[in-house]
Amino acid sequence: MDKGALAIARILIVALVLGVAVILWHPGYRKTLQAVFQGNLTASPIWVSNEKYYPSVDFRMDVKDDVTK
Amino acid sequence: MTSQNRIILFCYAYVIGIALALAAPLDPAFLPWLRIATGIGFAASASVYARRISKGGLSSLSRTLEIVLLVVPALLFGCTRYTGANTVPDTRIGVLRLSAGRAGFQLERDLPDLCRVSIRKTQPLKADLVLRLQGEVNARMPVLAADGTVEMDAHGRWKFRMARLDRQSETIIVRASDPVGTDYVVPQPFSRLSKIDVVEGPLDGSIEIFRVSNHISTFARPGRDHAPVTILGRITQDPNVYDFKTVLAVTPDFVQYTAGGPYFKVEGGDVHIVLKPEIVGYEKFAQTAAYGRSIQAFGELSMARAAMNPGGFDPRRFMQNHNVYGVMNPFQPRDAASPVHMVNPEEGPARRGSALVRFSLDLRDRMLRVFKVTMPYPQSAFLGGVTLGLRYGLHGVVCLLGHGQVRPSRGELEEGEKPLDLCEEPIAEEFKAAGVNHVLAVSGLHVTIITVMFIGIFSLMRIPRQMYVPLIILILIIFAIITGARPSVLRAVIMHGLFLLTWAYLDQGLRSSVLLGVPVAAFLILLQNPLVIVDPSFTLSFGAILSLGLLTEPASDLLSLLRGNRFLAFVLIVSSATLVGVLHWPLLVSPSFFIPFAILCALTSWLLATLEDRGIRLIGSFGYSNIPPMVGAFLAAQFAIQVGMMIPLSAYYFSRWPFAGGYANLIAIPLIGVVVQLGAMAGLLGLIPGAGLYIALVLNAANWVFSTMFLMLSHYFAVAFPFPFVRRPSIRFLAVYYILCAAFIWYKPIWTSIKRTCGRWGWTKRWAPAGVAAGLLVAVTLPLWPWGGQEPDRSMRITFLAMGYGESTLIETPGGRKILVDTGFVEHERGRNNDAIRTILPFLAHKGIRKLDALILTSPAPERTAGAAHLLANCWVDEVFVPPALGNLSPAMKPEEFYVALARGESVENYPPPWLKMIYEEVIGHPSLTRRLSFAKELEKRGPTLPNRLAGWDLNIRSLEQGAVILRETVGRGEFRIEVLHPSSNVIAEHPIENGSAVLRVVYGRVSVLFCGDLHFAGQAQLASDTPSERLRSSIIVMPHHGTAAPWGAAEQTKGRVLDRLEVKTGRLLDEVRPEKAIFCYGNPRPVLGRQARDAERVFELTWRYMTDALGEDSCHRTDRDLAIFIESDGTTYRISTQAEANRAAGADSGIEDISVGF
Repeated sequence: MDKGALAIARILIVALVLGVAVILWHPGYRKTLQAVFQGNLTASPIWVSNEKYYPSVDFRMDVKDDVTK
Repeated sequence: MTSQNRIILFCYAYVIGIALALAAPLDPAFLPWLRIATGIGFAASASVYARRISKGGLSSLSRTLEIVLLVVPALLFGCTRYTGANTVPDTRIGVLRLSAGRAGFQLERDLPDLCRVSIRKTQPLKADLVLRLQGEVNARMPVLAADGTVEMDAHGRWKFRMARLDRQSETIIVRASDPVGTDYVVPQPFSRLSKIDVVEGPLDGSIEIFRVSNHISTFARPGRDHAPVTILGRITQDPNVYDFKTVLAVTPDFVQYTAGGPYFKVEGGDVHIVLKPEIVGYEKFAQTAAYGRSIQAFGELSMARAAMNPGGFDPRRFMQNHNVYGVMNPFQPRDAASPVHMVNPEEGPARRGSALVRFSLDLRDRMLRVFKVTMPYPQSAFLGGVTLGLRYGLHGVVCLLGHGQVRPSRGELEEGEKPLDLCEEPIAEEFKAAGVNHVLAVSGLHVTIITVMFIGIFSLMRIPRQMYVPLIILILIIFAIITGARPSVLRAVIMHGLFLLTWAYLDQGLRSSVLLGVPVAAFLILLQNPLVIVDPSFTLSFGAILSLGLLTEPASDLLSLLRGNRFLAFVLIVSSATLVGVLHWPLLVSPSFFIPFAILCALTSWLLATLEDRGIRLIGSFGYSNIPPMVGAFLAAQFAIQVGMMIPLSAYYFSRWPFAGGYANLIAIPLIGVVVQLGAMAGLLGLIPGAGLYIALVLNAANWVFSTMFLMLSHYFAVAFPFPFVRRPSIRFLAVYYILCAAFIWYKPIWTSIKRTCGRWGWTKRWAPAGVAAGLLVAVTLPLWPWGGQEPDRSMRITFLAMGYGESTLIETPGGRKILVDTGFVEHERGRNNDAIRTILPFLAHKGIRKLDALILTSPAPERTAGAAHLLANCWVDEVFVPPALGNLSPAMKPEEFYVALARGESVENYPPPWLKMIYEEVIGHPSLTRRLSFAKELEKRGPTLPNRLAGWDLNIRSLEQGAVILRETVGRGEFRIEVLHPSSNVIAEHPIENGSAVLRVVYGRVSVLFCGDLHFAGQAQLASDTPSERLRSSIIVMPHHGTAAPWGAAEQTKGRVLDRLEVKTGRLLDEVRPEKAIFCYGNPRPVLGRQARDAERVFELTWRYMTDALGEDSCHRTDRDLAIFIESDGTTYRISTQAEANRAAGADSGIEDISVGF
C-alpha cells in the first residue's frame, strides 16, 4: 500500500507541474484562471464551451426549485 | 468444509438455479410448490447444520448429505426467485360450479382492493354459459386542487374520496366452442364480489374466477393510439437528461385507467416517462433535484417496443429485466395545461428520496460543475462519463477530429476549398471499435482506481486501515449511487467491500477475498433482481473478473515458457497476424490464407526452436520472464480478458469483435487510471471554498492533456484496426468454449489425473496420456461437429426487415444461397441511424451468414442504397447487381455526370437538389468529407487484387438488364429463379430515377413474389403494358415505392389525383399481377424525405386503404405495424408470418384489452 501512496503522490506532482504548464500555454485556460480570480466564472471560455453540456448543472443549483403550493 | 466454502457453494448454486430456470422456464403455476420445496430444503439443511454443531462433526455420509442439502435448496431458491420475478400471476378468488342445473358460487378469498376480474374456462362445457357478476365497487376518486392535480396530505399520501357503489357486470358469455383455459376479462372492475347470476348455461361444469393483478404491466398496452391514463407516483431514479428529451424512472402508486374513472392501486413495476422540451414545466424535471419527487402524469401508457427483427435488440425485454413495464410519452397540446405536474404535500416539505441518494447526486452535480469550469468540452463530457458515470452527456458527441468544425455545405468543392479529413464518428462508437468502451461502463476498473486512490491518500496521512476502511466503503457506496448503481458497479463495490473488510480486520490477502467476493456479489445482485442475469452489464462484468482471477495465472505460466528463439517466434507470429489483420482483415480469416499462414508460423517456430537447440540464439535468452513484472502481469491479464470475456461475449452480445482491444487497452487502462484519479481529486478538491477551485483548475488542466490523449488514442485505434462483424456464437458453442477454458485453467491437475489413470490402466506408452487428452478434446467438441452435413431444406425464405423507411430484404433460396435486396438508409445527423450497421449486419450475424451470394440494388434511392457501402465494408459478397443508372460508377464522377446517368439522360430539374445530393454523397462520395464511406469507393476496394482474390473479397458487378434471369436453381419441387422485368430501354421522363428502378420477380415453383422497386405511376403503367401477363402474375406483390408513389409535382398530389392514379395505373398493374397478398415496406419517412414526409404519409394511407379494399385487410402486411415479415414456401404453397405475431406468441403483447371502468 505504501507503493500505491507513493504512486499517487508522484501522479499529483507531475499533474501539478503539467497543469501549470498547460495553464501558461493554453489561452482558454489563461482566461479561465483570470475569470476564476475575478469571480466571474460564466465569462470563462471553458464554461462557455460547456454551455449545452448538462445545462441544468450551473451556478443556480443552490436555488430552491418552484413548488406547486 | 469451511464456512467460507459453504457460502461460496451456496451462492454458486443459487446462480446456477437461476440459469436453469432461464434455460428451461417453469410454469408459474408451480411457484407455490417451488416455494414449499425451497422452505423444506432450507429447514432440512438447517437441521443438519445444527446437528453438526451439537455433535462437533459429521460422518462422511452426513457430510455428503450436508452438501446436498446446501446445494439443492439454493438451486430451488434460484429457480423460485427467477420464476417469481418473471411473472405477474393472477390470483384465484373463487369457483362457480354447475351441478344438475344448479349454480353454486364459492368465494375463496376477498378482493384486497379495486381490481379487474377474469373468468377462466377450466372444463369443457356442453353449452354456452351466460352469466353476470354482482358485487360492489369502492371507487377511489381523487381530491383535486384548483389546477387539476391530485392533492397530497401532510404525510405525502395522495388524497382520495371513497365512493361505494353496487355493481353488476355486463353479460359474459363463456362459449362452449372456446378451448379450455380461455380467459374472459370482465369489463367492470370490482372491490367485492357477492354473487354470480347464471342467465343460461349447461347442466354441469365449472369455471374459475381470477383477480387480475394490478401490476403496472397489466395497464400498459402494445402499440400506440390508445386511451391515455393518469399515473400518480414518484421519481425513483436520477432523471436521464439528454439534449432532446428527459427520461424519468417512476414507481407508480396509482393509475387511473380511464378519464373520470377510479384509481387503481398499483402493485408493482416501474414505468419510464419520456418528456420532450416542449412540455410546460420541463425544466423542473430535467434536473437532479427532481429525484424523489411526486409526479402526476397524463398520457398513453404503452409497452416498450419488442424486437423488430429476428436477433435484433429487444427493448421491451431489456426494460422488463430492469423492472420497467411501460413507457409513457405525455403530449403537450397547444395552449393547454401541462400533462405532467410535480406535486407536493399540502403542508411541510416536498417528498424527496433517500437522503444518502440525494447527497450522492448533489455531490455528483457539484463535482460536475467543477469539471465544467475547469475542462473544456468535449473532454469534460468524457471526464464526466468515466468519473461520474454520466454517459448521456457523450450522446452524439463527435470525435475530436470533427468536433466543432463548421459543417461544409453540400455540393461541389468551392474555389480554393480543400477536402476536409473530418471524422464524423461519435466518440462512443470509436470507443466500441477500439475496444475501450468498457471505460464508459463504470465497473471494477473504476472502483479499483477509486479504492486504491483513497487507500493511498489515507496511507499517506498515516491513518490505520481499521479506521479508514469503513469510510472507503461508504465512499464506494456513494460512488455506486452517483454512477447509477449498475450491476457492474454493484459487483465491484460488493467485492471491494468484502476485500477491504477481510484485509483490514482478518488480515486476509486479495486472492481469498476474490474467491469469496465473486459468488457473494453475484448472489446479492441476483437476489435483488434475478432478471439481470442476462444483462450484458452483469455477464460482462463477472466474465471479466472471473477471467482475470482464473485465467491470468495459467496464461502467465504459459507465457513464461517463452524465452529465446521461442519468444521471438511468438512475437513474430503475433505481429505478422496483427499486421495482416490491420491491412486486410478478410484475408486473415479466410482459409485460403489462414491455413498456409498457420503452416508458415509452425515452420518458423520449428526452425527457430531447432536453432535454439543447436545453440544459435538470436535474442539470447530474453523472454517473457525478462519483461518488468508489472508489464508482464498486465500482458497476461490482457490475454486472460480477451480469451475469457472479450472474444466470446463481444461476439455473442454485439456480433462484433474489436480487433484493437488487446492493443489499445495496453495504453488505455493505465491512462484511464490517471484520468479518473485526477478527475476525482479535482472534482472533490474543487469543492473546497477559496483555493479549491484553483487546485482543481491546475489538476484538470493536466487532465485535459491525458483526456485528449485518450480520445485521440481511441480514434486512431478505431481507424487503424478493423471492427468486424462475426458470427454470433450459439449457447452450445459458448458452453464448449468455456469447458475448454476450464481445461486450460486446470490443465495441471487434469494432466496429472490423466497420467495417473493411464498408469492405473496399464497404458505405459509415452504417447498414452497425450492420446487420452486428445480423445477427451474430441469428446468435448463433439456437439459442434457438423454431423451428417446439413442439407438445405429446399424451402425458399424471404425476410423483409423492419427498418422504418429504409428497405432491405433477405432471400434464402431453396439451394441455400443468400441474396440481399437493397441495403437500407444511413442517417448522418440527428439519430445517426445506420440500417446496415444497426440492423442488417447483426441480422446476418444472427443467422450465421458471413457471405452473400448476391447483393441486388434495385434503385439509387438513399433508403435502398445508403447502407451498401457499409455492407460491402463488412461482408463477403460474390456479385453485386445494380440498375443501369448505377452502372459505370467511379469515385471521381462529377455530380452533373452522375445525375445524367441517374436519370438516364432525362432532366432532373424537378427533383429537390438536397435529395439528389444525398444520393450523390451516398453513391459516389461526399465532396468535402473524405472519410465518409461511399458505394463507389467500396466497390473500388473490392477489385480483383491478389489479397482480395485470396480472401474471396473480390466481387463482380453486373447490371440488371430487362429480361435477364440473374439466378436459376433446379431444386426439389421446381425451378427457382430471379427474373428482371424492368427497367426497359424506354426511359420515362416523369420521375425518371424511380421509374428506372429494377423490378424483380422471384419464382419458386408455383409461388412468385414481385418486387416493384421504386416505380411511380408511369413506371407501373409501363411495366403493365410492356410485360406479358404470364410473366407478371405473382402470388405476392411488394408494393412500389413503399406505397408512397405519388403524381409528379406537389400540385398534383391531391387526394383526388392520387386516388385516380391508383385506380388507373396501380389498378392496371394489379389486374395483370393478380396478387393474393401485398407487402408494404414502410416506416417513418421523415429521416429520408424531411419536409415532404407529410405528403408521403398521406399518400401511404390512401394506397393502404386502396389495397386493403382490393385484397382485404388480412391479405396486406406492413413492416411498421407487423415488424419483420417472413415468407416461407416449398414451391407449392406459401406461408406469411410476422415478427409481431412471434412477439405475441412469446407473450410479449399480452396487454389487457379495453375495459370499461367508468360510471
